[in-house]
Amino acid sequence: MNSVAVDRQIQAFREQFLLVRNEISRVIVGNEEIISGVMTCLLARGHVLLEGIPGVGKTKLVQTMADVLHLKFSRIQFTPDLMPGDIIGTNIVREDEAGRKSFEFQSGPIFANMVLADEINRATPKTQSALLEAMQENSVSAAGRTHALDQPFFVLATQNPIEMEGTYPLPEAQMDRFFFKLKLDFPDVGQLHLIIDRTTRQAEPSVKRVLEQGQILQMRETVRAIPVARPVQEYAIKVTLATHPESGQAHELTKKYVRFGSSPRGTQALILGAKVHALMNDRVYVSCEDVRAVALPALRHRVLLNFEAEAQRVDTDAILARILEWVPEPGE
Amino acid sequence: MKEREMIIGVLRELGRRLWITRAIREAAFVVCVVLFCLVCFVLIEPALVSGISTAVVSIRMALLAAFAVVTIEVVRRSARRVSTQQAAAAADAGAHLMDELKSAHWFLSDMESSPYVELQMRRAAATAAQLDLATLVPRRLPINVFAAVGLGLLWAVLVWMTPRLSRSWDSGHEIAAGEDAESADLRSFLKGAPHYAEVEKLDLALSRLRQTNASAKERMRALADARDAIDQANMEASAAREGLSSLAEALRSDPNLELAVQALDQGRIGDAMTLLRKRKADSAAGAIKDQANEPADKAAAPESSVDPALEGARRDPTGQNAAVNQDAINRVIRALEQANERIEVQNRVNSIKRRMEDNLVATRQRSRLTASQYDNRTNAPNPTPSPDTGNSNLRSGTLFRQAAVAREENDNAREGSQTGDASGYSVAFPLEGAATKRLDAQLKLETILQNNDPGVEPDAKGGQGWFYSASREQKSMRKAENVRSLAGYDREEAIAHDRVPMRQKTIVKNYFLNLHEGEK
Repeated sequence: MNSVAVDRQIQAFREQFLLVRNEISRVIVGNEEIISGVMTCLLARGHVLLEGIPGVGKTKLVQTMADVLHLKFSRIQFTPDLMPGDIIGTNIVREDEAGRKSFEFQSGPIFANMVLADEINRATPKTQSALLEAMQENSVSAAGRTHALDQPFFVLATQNPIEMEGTYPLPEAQMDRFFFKLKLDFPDVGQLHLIIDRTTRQAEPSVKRVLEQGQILQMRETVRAIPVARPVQEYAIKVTLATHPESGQAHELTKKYVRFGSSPRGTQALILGAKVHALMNDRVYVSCEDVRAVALPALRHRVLLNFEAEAQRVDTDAILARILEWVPEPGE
Repeated sequence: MKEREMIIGVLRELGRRLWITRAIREAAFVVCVVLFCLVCFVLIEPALVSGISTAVVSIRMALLAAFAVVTIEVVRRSARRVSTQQAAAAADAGAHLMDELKSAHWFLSDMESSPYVELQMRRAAATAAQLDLATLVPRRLPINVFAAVGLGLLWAVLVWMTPRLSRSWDSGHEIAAGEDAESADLRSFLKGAPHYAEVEKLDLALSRLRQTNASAKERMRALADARDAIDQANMEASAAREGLSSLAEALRSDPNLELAVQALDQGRIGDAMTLLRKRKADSAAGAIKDQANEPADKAAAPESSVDPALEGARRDPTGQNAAVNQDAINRVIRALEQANERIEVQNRVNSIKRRMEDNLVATRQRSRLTASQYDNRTNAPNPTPSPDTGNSNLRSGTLFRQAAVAREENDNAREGSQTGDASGYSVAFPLEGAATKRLDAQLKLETILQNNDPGVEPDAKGGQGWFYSASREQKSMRKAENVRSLAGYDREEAIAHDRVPMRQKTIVKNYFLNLHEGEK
């Protein structure tokens, strides 16, 4: 492959990305950044956690995306009585025509390309942890056997930040598995008008499938092929280290309010997300601006605040914003 | 390779421009620092140095050291060329290239190559070729240069507007020579003056003031000596004037000496002496009938001072046979000559005094003394009105009372002309001034005992320096805080043992007494 072919590939990537986003935007009002974030997670081989109050379109966004992408989609409604077997699947006894009985693995809803884990914080930690292996290893172990998941495997989890009664907050290890954490804000007046116009008439807007499974996998390969200069990679590392209170490069707000900083997965998310962002902007290299663009969704759920921050209602996003302003770019 | 050369070439050219700009900026910064120090030095020099040349030298050395350090640091920083990596970062930041050249520069040094890297290099080369270096690094002077020019103008204006402030930099010798000339000019007033102790003392003080290597303390001391000498001369002249007045009263009884008396009343001592000499010649031609009661040896005795001579001369002519007492006339003439000399000395020293005061006012801006020292110089330490003229040296000026003591009854044509000019200054006419009583009650005589002669009594003036000084304000030796703490000392002592204040001791005592009562 020569540079001309690469150029065409990048152009195709950008066009397909915009095609998906535009198609989703026919149903989902506003939230272009959320749509781009979800697409970034999909193309960076990550999973996304959507957080927002009820009714802002979290589930609708995922359903629309499943409609746009030609992928196998399954939805799991997390409840307190949901068991891991309900997600992964279980061995059942099957009797053949000869009367012999054998175990047969009945796959659960996780065996899909897109899995919507709706209200994931309503299930017990035991059930939540059933997703750990699947999200990280792209495989499922059941009854001593490991079952590979079909690619692309993409988990979209939603959670409600205000209804905390009877919920189980996701453990840190589980949170770290999510590539991005995206926050859906309440729509403004104009967007509300548009939502009402679209959803209270006879015919609701429909979408068509614009991206095939193979194209998605190709786009994933393209993302991985984007080179990153060492200074930019160093910048991403500095940003990550600045979230660690015990680090020598920690910001003063970090030392004051942060209990644990981002894991190395956070740096990986920064670089991979920056690559998608660079491709989206028709660039074949990653800049520090790309890193900054994806820093908030990539790090906000990986930085754990201490009690003082909780008491003073200090937001993680505010701390990260200060860190991004503070960490110098290479060459400055 | 073509892309690589293109990128490197552009980055090198950009680095060269950045280096030049940085060097100009750093040099301008050095100039700014130096000029700022010069401006500060010009502004604070009068306040820092009070005739102490070592302070000026120290400040100059410090300035030179700071200049050398800054220059070395700037040269060291300017010697470092701008690397291509720094140039790439500057280009990315200046042209908003989103790290394109920075990444390309990194990929240039990276051995790993891929179609994506090649594409990036191709795009970066195209971007570099389109870069307008003149826009990126414009050939305009940095703001430091304008700041340096502004500071230079400020410094030039300060030096030009206040040349006396900068005398230590460029005109110290001329001003010092001017001061010497002024001092020498003052001493010229004493040439040909009668030889009196106060004249020699004043001459010595002026010569000490003329010395350029004299310290501020020595100058202050010489100035005080000069004032003492001037006051002494004025006192002696005042005494002589009183004697003349008494002599005129004594001679008034002799009708033959009426013209001489009138001349004395009007202060025309020369005329009076001429008339007396004429009278003496007339009496010598005639027969001498009566001899004076005074023995000849006493009359021939040398007069050590004006007062005894005048006293003797005054007594002789008022006798019954004094009309033809030639010897007495001789003594009167001698006494008048001495009084004339005293008054002449007074005129000379008063001229010197006025010139000194004028010089002090003129040198106010270039004075090396501190504010308090200058105040002491310009305002005489003795605010008591002069017994001669009635002038009083006050703070912030001198109160001239010349017109108040001038006799105007025989000088109606000039009435009002001696009340002073617009500035309040009136030239003294000592000879025409009426005799003024000595204000002894207002003077406080102080005597300085010599260190090597502690046994001499304070009243003995011989061989000791003496001067009149004003009573000074007594300042409290204890600060107000100390006084307050002293006032509360007793109370603190009272509660020091059991930490119970005095007024609450009774309550505490009653409490415990009642407590014990309850137990019983």
